[in-house]
Amino acid sequence: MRVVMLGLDAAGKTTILYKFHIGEVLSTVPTIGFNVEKVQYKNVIFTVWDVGGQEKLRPLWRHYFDNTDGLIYVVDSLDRERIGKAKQEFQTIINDPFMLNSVILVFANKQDLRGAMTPMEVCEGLGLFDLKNRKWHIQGTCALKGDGLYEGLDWLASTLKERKAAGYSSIGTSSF
Amino acid sequence: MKRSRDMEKRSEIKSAIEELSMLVIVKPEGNHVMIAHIPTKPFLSLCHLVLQVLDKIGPTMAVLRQDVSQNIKRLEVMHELNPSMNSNLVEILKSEASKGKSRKRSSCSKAFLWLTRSLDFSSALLKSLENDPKKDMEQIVQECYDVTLSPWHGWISSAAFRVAKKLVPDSKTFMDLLKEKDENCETLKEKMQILVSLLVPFLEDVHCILKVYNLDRIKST
Repeated sequence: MRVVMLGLDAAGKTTILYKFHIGEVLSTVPTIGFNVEKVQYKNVIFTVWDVGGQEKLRPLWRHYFDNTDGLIYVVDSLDRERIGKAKQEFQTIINDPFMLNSVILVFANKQDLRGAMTPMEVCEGLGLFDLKNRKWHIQGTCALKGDGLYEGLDWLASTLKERKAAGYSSIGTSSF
Repeated sequence: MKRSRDMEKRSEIKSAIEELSMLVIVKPEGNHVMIAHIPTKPFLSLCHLVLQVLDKIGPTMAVLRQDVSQNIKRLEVMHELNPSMNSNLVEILKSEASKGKSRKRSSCSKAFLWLTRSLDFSSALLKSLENDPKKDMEQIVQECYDVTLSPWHGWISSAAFRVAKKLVPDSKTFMDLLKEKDENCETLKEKMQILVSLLVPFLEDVHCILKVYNLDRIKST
């Protein structure tokens, strides 16, 4: 299963990737380009692509969309100032022709910090309730402790298995 | 446990994507090519990675490799002479054009032109391999050469290439050399696809700039 993990800079994407991959919290540097690792969970092997989230790198995200089964969108729940920007980027991703059939898992990260938005607030902030005909799930997480990460992966694994059984294609309809 | 980019053993493909991630966004706006900005250091880093890939193709690419190496060196020397002024390759082109030096044999403009053409060749090679990894490598190299370098090579360069292409490794060996440790073919192909998708628009922009400075039709002997 091919999964792309996106989100604004400093949301915690790389920390999450390596927590999944080796079960440890690594001290990370801002990602330029991408990190990719295989993550095995409940007999499902995910190839997770973690792509740099800095503003100047976001136009490059679309190069990673082809053949994607699932999107993990990571939000820094403490960053109330940029939830609007997070929504804007999120909407751009999910409306891309190559991403129309991807299932969506949102990690409302940094839930351990005081003043963090609740998953419900993040949900509203991203406009998840307005999505039509899309499979999505939001999960509160704390990447440093690992809280919520595997619950999210659980949902992703079972949803993708269901879709595979139903014969869904991972390739979004392309308009060109 | 500390993890930094310097500590990782990264493949040339991944490193090239990193360099391009810094380069790809520096594009001319509309037709204002004169104010375009191509940062010298990331561009040369990208070219160094091309050298490493050419090394993996083996002695077959010795001629091209030497050419790329000399052109990198020329631009590096220029950059070191005045790092602040020469941090933008377009400024170097502009400066040489104003002094009428662009077409001189040892100009930085020509070095930049030939490095761009080497990137064209590398891009075509990766695209072809990604499309059909089982295709005969000699055929791939020939086709890519015909499209990217042959139109600009004179008989000396072409003759050297004809001899060289007989020594290419098979495509499986080459793909194995490009892989990271324990990497499978699918992931490598995806990385190649991403690299090509970043490289193509970047090179299109570079060619637009070269055209403005009347460098795009220059041939070698």
